[in-house]
Amino acid sequence: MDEVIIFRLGSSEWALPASTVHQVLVPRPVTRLPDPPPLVCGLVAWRAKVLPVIALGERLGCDDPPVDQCTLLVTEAGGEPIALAVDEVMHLAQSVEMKESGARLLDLEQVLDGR
Amino acid sequence: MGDDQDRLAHRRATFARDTRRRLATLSDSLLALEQDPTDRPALDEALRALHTLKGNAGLVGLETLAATAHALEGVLSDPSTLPPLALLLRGLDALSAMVAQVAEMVGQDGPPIPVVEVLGSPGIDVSPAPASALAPASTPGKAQLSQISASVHHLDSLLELIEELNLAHSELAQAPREMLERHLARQRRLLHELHDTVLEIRLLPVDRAFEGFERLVRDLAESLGCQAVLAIEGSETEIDRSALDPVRELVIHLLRNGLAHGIEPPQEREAAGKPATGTIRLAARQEGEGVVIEVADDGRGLDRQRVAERAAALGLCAGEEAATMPDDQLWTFLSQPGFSTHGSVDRVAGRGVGLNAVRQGVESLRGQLEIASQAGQGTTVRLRLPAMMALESVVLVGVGPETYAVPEAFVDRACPAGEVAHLPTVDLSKRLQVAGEIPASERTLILCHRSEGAVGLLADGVVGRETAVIKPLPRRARRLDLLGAIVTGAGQVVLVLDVERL
Repeated sequence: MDEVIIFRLGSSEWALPASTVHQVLVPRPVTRLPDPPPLVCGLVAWRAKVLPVIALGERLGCDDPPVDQCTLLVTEAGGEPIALAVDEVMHLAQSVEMKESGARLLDLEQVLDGR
Repeated sequence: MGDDQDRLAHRRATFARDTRRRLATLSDSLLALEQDPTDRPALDEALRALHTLKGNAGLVGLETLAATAHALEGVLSDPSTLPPLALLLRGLDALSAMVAQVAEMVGQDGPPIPVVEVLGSPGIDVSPAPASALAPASTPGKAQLSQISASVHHLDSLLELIEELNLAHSELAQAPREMLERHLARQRRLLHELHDTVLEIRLLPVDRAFEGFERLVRDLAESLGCQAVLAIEGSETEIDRSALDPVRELVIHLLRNGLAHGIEPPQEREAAGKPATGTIRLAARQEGEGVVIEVADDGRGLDRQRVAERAAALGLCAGEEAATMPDDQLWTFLSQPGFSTHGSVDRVAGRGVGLNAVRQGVESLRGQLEIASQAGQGTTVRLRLPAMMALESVVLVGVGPETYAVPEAFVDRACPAGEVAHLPTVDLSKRLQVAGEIPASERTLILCHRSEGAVGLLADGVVGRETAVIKPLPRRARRLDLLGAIVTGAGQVVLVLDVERL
């Protein structure tokens, strides 16, 4: 059965397939990147790698969570691991239950490409 | 391709890799035999190398190669019929060519190369090797047993794993409970030991990079009409694996330079009261935490006046200035781009094309190039390299509330801002868009050197030092003036500045 992780960004709830999420990280210091490219709000260490912290507020029409207080979802985009900044992780759900909870499935690649 | 064929291709690739080393040993033994045809250990060594090669070639189904090795073995094993060395070397070249072919298009045995033709000497038995000759190679000696072979990729994964353990450790440490402390301390110590061991595995004796150089110098000298021998010192000096191939390339460049422009023709040497045969000394040694590799010839040395004239002509300095400049400063011009252009200056100035390329190669290894020369006595080119390429020492500098890292290889010293005048300066707080927290007069200038010359980095202060692996930045977050990032023991990401590009 397919499971999804439901998380909150601003006032709306979104879901990612649980199989695509490597780990949920509690809030931690995020290193600022000077003159950052769009959507990148800093860097964190994860499993001896350095990951970009990606904030999707602008693309999804909500405020970004404060970078040092956000929960980070380690997932993948474009074949590289990224840390997605979210306000909080709600719960794990079966994908069939997702619609009832009002969460929408996030198509990460599409949102990142700005489509 | 089927599984079996995959496996065979893989084994052949391994064979080609191992055999290159064996051919180098063989070449060295043959050269020793040329010096002294009664050198029994050298002869035994050559026979052993050929025998092993033959056996291994047979094991991976390369019958032509096995037969060639067998024929050479036959020639060598009867000293009364020993052909001239030049012919044996041609046989060796034939073997090398076949091995190269195997490496290139792993999978197929190359077309047979007629050994009789190669050796140019009739009466050599090239009948197929008896089955016993294709038996597995003799058991490896002690020296081989004490060494392992691991891919750099695996070592790097190990290193990453250890760092992950480190991170897990620091997370665990953040929940302090007295019971845990002793265990944490022990874990910490073990992690350190593991880390150091892996780093040591990355080190290899530098002689792996010097294989076949005696032959190279001999052949090159011959083609250039001079005589020279190579003396290698400190070949047991250890260096990071990733540096072996680049170091080999750089040294080949320097050997060529030394032979083409340093060593004089025999008559000229004798007229100057020197032995007709020149010597090129290739020396490696540990110095501090790094490794020094020196290529020194006893040739004609650099021509001060020509170098000064050329430097002035290129506008690198004023004519009078060049004339009175200290030698070592003058020689740095030799590695300027466009200084020694082919055919114009290389012969007269006594140094060849491409010292600029050598310098770039050294700098990409985070090392430095030094040149020393005495007219009539010879020229020494010194490469100073860090021993551990995987680990980098960095200086941590504070900029406002943030911390950045500068590779120590770039840093000369730090001093109060304002102590040094007339130096190109990069204000890090402006460059990195951080508000400085202390008055300009109390800030610190980090004095660095880069290929364009000295540069000062204006920061709030030096806050520490760290030794760590520099990791690449994720694709989405690359910036030209950042080399990458390190992760501190506490799990914090610190950006590493690329001084060359700031």
